[in-house]
Amino acid sequence: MSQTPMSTEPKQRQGGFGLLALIAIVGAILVAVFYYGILNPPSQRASSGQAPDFSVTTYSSEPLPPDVLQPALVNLFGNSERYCVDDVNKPRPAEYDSIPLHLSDFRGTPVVLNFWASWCVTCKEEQPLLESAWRRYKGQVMFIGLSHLDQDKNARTWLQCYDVTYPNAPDLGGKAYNTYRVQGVPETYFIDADGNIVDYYVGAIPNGGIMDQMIQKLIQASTSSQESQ
Amino acid sequence: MKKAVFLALIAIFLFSAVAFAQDGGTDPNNPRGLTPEQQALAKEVQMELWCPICQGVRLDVCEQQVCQQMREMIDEMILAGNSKQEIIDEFIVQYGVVVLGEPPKEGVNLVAWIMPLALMLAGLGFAVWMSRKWTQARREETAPSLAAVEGGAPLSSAASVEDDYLARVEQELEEGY
Repeated sequence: MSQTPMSTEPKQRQGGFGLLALIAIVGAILVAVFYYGILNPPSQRASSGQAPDFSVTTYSSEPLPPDVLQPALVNLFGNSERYCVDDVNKPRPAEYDSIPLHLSDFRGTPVVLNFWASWCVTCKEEQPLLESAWRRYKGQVMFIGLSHLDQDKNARTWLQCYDVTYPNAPDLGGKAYNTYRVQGVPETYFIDADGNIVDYYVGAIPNGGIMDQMIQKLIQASTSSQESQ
Repeated sequence: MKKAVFLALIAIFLFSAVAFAQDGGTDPNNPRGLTPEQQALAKEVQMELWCPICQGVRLDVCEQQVCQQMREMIDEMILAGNSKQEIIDEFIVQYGVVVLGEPPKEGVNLVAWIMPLALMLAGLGFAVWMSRKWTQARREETAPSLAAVEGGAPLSSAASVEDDYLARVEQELEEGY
């Protein structure tokens, strides 16, 4: 008696097992990736320890031409322009004109690192405080501004409007923003002379008192860490 | 006197209308005066990009100021003669891949990256399995009739039927059971 027709059943069963095995493997991979993701969540914000280094190129210090600046001012601030300094056409310091900048360049000096954006409403309240603090602590503390998800024209309009004199640069592709795990703008990091994060502030620093307090804490931490070396 | 005042009022009205027309001539939805083709291209680019600070909001429907700035940039780049891909590439450089709406490759989001590949592999495996099964069934269907032709036995009507059960019965009968 021929067994040919009868032999199809085990073969079919074998094929069915193959399919089941494939589904099981694919399912196992997905479950493994899912649990790997659960057990390895995205790392937390840089809140202590060594501050991640970054590499940026500062904005041009050249004032924007009036035909570009005026509409951009209206776009950013409406018609009031109440935040802007009187002479918005003043050139900004040439020493920070389109230069490469790294956090590590400032080792030995405490750094205030501010993430901001020209579209950010609360940054408007904070910017004059930052500029005023920079002018008071210049020589003791370095200030760096990194603009997030911004465009050259709008960011430079902002810097001209507030007459910002400390170095500012675009954080292209949000690289520094992602490395620091910033949650939104504005956020400010206080980094001591050894490059360690001393403190950070989420949101706009509300007044000069708090700003002074945090900068004093930064200077103190930098001094004590340098003394212990 | 009244006539002079009336004429003056008409003149003021006409002058204001002309001034208003000149000032308000720009369409608020198209302040940069893009042509219909350029507007269509701008819309196309907007529909490919996502609000970088929102969750799942496309650029063309986003009301955030960051999105307004992005739409302005698209218009300006179109007016400067940039292509759709050039504009998208520039956004990736300036804003990062976040504008493409891609989930970050970390944490549970990894499933979103692995799932399509895994499903594609499973689909491919299923297709291979099904084609093998069909080929095998076809081969088994034709085997009894071929055997009958080679053995010189007359083809019965049952042998040509595509039911392998009947083919098996036919074969058993021929063998004397």
